[in-house]
Amino acid sequence: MTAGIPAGLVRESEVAGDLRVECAVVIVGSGAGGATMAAELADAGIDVVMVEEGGYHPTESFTAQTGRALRTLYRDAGAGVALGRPPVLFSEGRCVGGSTVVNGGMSWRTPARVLERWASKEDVAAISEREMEPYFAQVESRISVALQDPETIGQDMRLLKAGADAKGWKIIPNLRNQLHCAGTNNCTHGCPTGAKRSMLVTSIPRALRRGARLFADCRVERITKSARGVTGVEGRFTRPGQRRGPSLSVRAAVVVVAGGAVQTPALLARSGLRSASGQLGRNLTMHPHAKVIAFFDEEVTGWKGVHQAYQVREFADDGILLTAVNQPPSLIAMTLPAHGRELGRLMAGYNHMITAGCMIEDTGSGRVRNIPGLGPQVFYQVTDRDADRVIRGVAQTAELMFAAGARRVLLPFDGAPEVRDPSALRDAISRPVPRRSLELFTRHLMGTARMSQDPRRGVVDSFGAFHGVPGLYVADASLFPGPIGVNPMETILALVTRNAHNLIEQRSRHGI
Amino acid sequence: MSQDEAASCWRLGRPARRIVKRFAEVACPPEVRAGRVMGGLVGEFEALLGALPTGVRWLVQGGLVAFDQGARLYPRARGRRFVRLADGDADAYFRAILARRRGGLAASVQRIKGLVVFCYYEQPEVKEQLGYRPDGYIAEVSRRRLSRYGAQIRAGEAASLGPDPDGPDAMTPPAARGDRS
Repeated sequence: MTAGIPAGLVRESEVAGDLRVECAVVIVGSGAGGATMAAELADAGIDVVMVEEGGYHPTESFTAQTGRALRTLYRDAGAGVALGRPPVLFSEGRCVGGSTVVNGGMSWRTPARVLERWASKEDVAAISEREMEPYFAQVESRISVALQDPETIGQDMRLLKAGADAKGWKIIPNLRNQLHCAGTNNCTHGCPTGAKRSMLVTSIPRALRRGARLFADCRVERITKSARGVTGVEGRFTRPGQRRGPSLSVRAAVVVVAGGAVQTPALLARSGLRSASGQLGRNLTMHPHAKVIAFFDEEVTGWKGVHQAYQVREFADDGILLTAVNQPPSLIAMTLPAHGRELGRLMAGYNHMITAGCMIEDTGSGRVRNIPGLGPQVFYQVTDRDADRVIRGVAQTAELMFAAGARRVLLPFDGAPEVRDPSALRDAISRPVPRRSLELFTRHLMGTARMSQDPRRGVVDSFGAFHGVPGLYVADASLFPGPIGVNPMETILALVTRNAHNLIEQRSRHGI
Repeated sequence: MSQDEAASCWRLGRPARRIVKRFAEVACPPEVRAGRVMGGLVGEFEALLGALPTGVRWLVQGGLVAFDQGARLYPRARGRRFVRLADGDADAYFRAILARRRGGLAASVQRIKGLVVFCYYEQPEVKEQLGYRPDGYIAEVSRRRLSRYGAQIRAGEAASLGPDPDGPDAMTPPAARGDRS
């Protein structure tokens, strides 16, 4: 084994030929859901194998190079597109630790109103706020959820707060999974200090220390099954240059699928698994985001200081959250409506910019389908109501930036002019904005294997067990019956912790 | 070989590289022609394409060729390809394509422009020119973190890994340890 690689972790470079492995539980994916499930089961002495499609990239390897981060830590270099009118760009993590390695580290409990809706309308058992409380408490302790140390808050965040205060809008400090975060603003490229308590530095080493095994660089191609239920998974290591490597065959009594809301339904479907509910791959929700770019006279240097110290909750009842998120120059430049000298002129003000935006708790839904030759494809339709709220959220964000002292703001509508004051903003927003011209993106993909005790409504039961297929579980954001209106990581962790405990209670039924 | 190195192995053919370079001269600020920026940009572009799905990679290459050859139909080009146009004509053709409200070529060129511009602003010289210097900043605040909170960090890191599995609680189910299950 290579020095510096944790015991129990196997990468493609260490695999010479086809492998056959046996264990009690095999988990597909090592992100928020997969790693949490692995740690809980390994804590209980269960023999666990994780299989992760992405590579292992330790904390010391993380840098501020955006291109490198996109190539190594994200699926398809972060260039996912949900097809629809307008298309929605999305990105998913693909590395050991999954999206927790590249998310912003926001840790919010599921709102009580969402849990109530899931219990009353979606027929999910044991999901009340009181029943979930111990799981939230446990995961918050495990991943060190806390407010930022004040010295890490940068000027972009101070201006966001000043703008909200000037407007009299409710703004709250973000709870984040961090252990004295240094404020490097490198969350989406991998935390270079390990302060962000992603699965890479918490549940994965925890599981490995208790005997779990993890195969990285290995894509699971299908779940194997017999008449009595699942029997394991089959996958293949990927060699450099996307060449096919040796195969991996894992025999297990229990299979847990935790590949995220796009890959999970795709794997289940290509394995020939069907849900009587007809909901597998459907009910996709995604919290569409839109951003504005605001220019200030003063120097902001938004890259100095923590990623998202605050959220504006003034419009939370309307399902709209506002915040600022600094982006590196390359990511900002690629979306600017300019080229040549004009692009250079705009970008020269990089250290005077704030990128701020809104996130919508959506009412639309989409679908994941396997398309022969192309793999899983995502289709999503923004509803008229959501398009209206995006436009409203963009206007509120721009208004907030002007209140903070911005001199001009670029709007995320294809072909929209920049606006130089609030009255110009009102003019721009009052004109009809065609839905197709909205520039939307997201990182929150949820709901394609929804929970419900009723097999006619849900793909899995209240604890993630696939209806009608003994031994098969789902453990990621696919479980959500609907959008939750806040960053989803903590909801995944708490739900999966609860479901893992339920599985441990029933271990004898599965013979594990 | 790491995934990143593997992605870097992917190379455009010479004609496609020529189109990318000419495209970058129009899409990026004029400083793209200075020093080693263009070479770095093309290398970054190839590495990025190498990380995209094969289908998308072919779409990008197809879009580049269509854009290059499509110039022949642009009146000011007088039948020449994009790579052979003078700066003013190349810019006018680029603007004309981007100004189209509909059509696959406009959308494709818009996306390719995004990728090329991304690669330009990934170049160290360009970041330096903007005053974007994250490495020094990251090193400085990382040191500050350890000097202020070192002991708490070590305790927190140990706690998140749980009790030593070789200790007395080793392999005991959570319920037996009094945890909620």
